[in-house]
Amino acid sequence: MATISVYHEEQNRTYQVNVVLNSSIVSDGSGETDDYLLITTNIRKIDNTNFGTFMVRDLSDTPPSYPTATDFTELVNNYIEYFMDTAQLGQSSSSSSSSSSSSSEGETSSSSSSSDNNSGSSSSSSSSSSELISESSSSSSSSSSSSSSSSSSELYSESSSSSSSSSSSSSSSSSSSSSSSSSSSELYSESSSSSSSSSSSSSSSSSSSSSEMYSESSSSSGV
Amino acid sequence: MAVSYSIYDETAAKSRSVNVNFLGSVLADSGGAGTDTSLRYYFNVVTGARDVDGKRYETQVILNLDELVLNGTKQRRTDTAVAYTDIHDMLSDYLYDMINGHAADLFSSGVAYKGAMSFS
Repeated sequence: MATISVYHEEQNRTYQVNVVLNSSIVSDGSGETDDYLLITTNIRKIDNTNFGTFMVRDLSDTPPSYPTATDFTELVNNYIEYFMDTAQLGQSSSSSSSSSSSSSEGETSSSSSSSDNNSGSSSSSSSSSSELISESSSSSSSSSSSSSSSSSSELYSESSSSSSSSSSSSSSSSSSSSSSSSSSSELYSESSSSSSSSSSSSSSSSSSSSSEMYSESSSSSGV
Repeated sequence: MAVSYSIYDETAAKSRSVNVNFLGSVLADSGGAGTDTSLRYYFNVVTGARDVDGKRYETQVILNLDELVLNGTKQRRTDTAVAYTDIHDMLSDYLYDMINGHAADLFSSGVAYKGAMSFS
């Protein structure tokens, strides 16, 4: 089994991508054994759902919208890239850092100029998040399904609204900034829960397919 | 988690296994060109069975479906030079070769003589 560790610096968390060789009797009625790779990960999508299990029998079993790989190294690397791009690990982390920095500016001073700075920083964070929308939608359209891009747009629309509320209430400086930081922390839980409910159909289909896959392998191994 | 293929020798009444695993690590180049510093993913084929000359079978490393079992030039069962179609086809041919051995002039791949595994 090959286990690849993916370290996310800002979350200070390590994710795993597992590639396991498996052999079982396939359920196509022939009764012949088949050898294949099962690729799983604990990386979660932007809507907080699992990726499911990918079954690889040859080099054409690539991630969605990826071309046929030339060897198994390229194939596994493509899956890792697909997981990271779809989960938007790097992009979501950069947006969260910008929102926290704007709230810290609100704490330092409570004058009207700070509200300008705060509004300016919040608008810049929202503009940067809107840039991330275009980036995420373009990248996710190339590599993942449309459901993830729609959920990401929902996430950023929520983030822009929360940042505007923090700038408007920045006259009470420290309390509002603490509320903005708490709202930014709430942002992730809200976005994950709401987006998971919005795209539960696609995720449930993938999880159900993976469960079917496991049931097949378990039943066949029992045979 | 490796896949273990059990092979039973009826004559010797012994059973041997061939373990195949999928690994990811930095491979050292055995051709004297130094160490390949890039991480690579490959199939690793290992068996404790010995050849008819008493020597251990070397560990096989398979990076791609076009790495054919006979010196990378031929499939064992079909005597063809085309790449394997899938993982099952590839591993079956490698197992077939380890069990049945191959002769130097059996195919035009120029491989050295090896016989069937003795299961010793």
